[in-house]
Amino acid sequence: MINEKIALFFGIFLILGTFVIAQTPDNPNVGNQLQTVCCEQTVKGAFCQNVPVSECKPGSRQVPTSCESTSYCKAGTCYDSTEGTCLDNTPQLVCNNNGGVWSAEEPPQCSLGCCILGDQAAFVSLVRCKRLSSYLGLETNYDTSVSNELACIDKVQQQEVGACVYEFEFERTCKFGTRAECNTQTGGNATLAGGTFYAGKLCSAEELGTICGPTTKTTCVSGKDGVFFVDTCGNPANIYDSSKIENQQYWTDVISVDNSCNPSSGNALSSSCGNCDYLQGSICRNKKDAGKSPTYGDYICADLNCKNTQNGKSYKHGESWCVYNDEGKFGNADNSVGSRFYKHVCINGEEVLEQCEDFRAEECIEDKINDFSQAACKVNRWQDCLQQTDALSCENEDLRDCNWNEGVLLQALGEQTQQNQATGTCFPENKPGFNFWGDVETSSLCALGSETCVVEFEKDLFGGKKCAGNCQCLSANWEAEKGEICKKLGDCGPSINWLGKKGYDKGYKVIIGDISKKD
Amino acid sequence: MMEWVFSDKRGQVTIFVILAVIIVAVVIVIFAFPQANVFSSSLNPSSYLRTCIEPEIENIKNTLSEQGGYSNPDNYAVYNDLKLQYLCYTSDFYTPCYVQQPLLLKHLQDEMKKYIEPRAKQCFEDLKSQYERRGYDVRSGNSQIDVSIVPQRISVDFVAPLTIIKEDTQTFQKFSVAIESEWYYLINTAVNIIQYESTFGDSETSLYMSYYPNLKIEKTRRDDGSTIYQLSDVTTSDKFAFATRSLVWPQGFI
Repeated sequence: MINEKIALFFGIFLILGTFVIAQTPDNPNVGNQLQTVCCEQTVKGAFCQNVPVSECKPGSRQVPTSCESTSYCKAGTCYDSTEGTCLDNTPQLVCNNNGGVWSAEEPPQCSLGCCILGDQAAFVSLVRCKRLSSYLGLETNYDTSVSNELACIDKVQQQEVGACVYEFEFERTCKFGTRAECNTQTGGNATLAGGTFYAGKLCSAEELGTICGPTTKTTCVSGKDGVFFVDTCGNPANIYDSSKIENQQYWTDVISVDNSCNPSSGNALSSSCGNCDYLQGSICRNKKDAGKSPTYGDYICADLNCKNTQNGKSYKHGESWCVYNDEGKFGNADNSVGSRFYKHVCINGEEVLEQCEDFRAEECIEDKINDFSQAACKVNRWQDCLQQTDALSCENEDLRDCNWNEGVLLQALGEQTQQNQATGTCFPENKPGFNFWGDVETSSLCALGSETCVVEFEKDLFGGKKCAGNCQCLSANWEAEKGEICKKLGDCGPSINWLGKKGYDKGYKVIIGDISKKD
Repeated sequence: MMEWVFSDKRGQVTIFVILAVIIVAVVIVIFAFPQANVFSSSLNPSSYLRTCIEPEIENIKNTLSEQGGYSNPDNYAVYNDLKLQYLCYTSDFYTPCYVQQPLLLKHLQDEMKKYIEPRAKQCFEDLKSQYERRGYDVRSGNSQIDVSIVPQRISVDFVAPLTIIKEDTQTFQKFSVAIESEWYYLINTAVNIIQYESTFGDSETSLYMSYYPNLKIEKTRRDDGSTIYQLSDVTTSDKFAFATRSLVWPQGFI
């Protein structure tokens, strides 16, 4: 008797993802309407956009080319000759229509230099410097030899400050400031030009014989961190120190911040010392805003640091950190649908939240420098992960954000790219989100996780069936395993959403094909 | 004696009621017509115009603050039921935005002028009527308004020659109204953010906040690729909000 060997083939198809009905436009003009033109103004009101013809405002200029190739929408630098500011990437017509001066290349007027504004500095253009100086009633002091902002700031910090003594309405009065201000500044109705400058002296110094004297009042000074005493003429004196309110010497010479009270501390909410340090999270503020009163005056070093933030930790003012609060994990292509990264920043004692791009197009990265946390949203470079065929190129952090999965193979990918030699698959580190509810492309991306498995059966003498090949495909594990692989591609397969809820269906289908006989 | 007092109680109540009605009427007049100086026969034109124009400056400033500097935004993003004008926009993916509103400060000054001018002229006409009602001979020339946003204030100069003649002659050339505001710095920060967005496609807001202690920037990303910026000064109530759409990454490959 001949053993009849019958092979039964079960085609098991695992089809994952979303099914979208693609609509084919019946309108014969659709092709024409989808043609992109450089449109002078769109129906929504935006200028110089590359949009389909149908989105272009009737009557506005349109050319079937990119805006960069047109004369009217070519982007360049727009110069504001009144304010002295320059803006890049401005279309010519937008600039001209608003009264600016447009040029394809950056004009010389936009080159920057160091503008000294009393005891402040700004790294700006010459016209801008003139504008700012006029606002402050100062003569223009502009230095083109300074090549960067730090050098500019450094330059102003080296300026001598002191008392500028002058006669006003038959009285010997004084204004505290720089030597240059003493020679040029106009203060109130009195011109200080010709005033005598006493470097390193305060206006309240008795030896100067002015009408200015000590008070118990304090103030904040623009551009400075600390709380300063004020003399009877309204000039700032030294840093507020309640123990030195009657110290004659403290009202005579300029004392540096480093030699003032508690220089190593931020002195936040200290009622006796106004030596605030912005880098340590304190700055001069009104006592009402700060929530505490000093011994003298109305100003105190306010506490800008954040305590007990959303993650339970405390952060310094200016620190930022990453937050991933949604369900699911990150870093191993296990992100939940709708989840995203957040960057939190501690500013003025407040925890400010900033979302990274949705659909996980951006991910948050953070690092610490001297225990000071800094975070940023960066682009998620997942796009070419699946094309990588070895671990080295897959995990090249300079080029992409992917993880190598040794032993995991995608059947559909192998067929498409003929990269059957690969020993694993390269998946995104943080899988991208898809517009899965209305996008044809999502279906094709998720279809990469589909797999066909042909199971062989043998018929024995008594008519029974016995699995003879690819038997693993019949196990429940196989289905779950393939589902997990599919999830790594993006918002495909049996995922959960950002709240941890499962979808209404399984996220995939198992289709058992026709049985074919083989002799 | 006691009997007399009690018998006249009803009269006392009537007097109190009349007094109360008069007080309420005066209060209503003061609040309903703040510019009408009911207690003085002499009018101060500067303070009259200030009282009349100042609320209008605040009104338009609030509107422009919330809508990206436009009283009627056309190309805008909707956020918290507000229309925020895109000051830098691209409809494309992967590309930085094109600047949509250069010379922002000038644009804001123009918008304010457009709104305030008719109201200021009305205030000026009301002022003239007030003088005429008081028996003055009033002569005036063409009026013109000039709005400037400068550090620490917004000032409105109302150039309107005015001569009032009664027993003596008084001549005014210009009336100035200024409100304290840190708007100038907020707008310059907005311009700076637009510069970053148009050049690099994004901006790093925590750096700005680290440099400028009084500045708070809230940056909100929307699903359509828009970014909403809300700038405010923590020591004042000044704010400025606007939208951008720059360097948008699509879902999938596209």
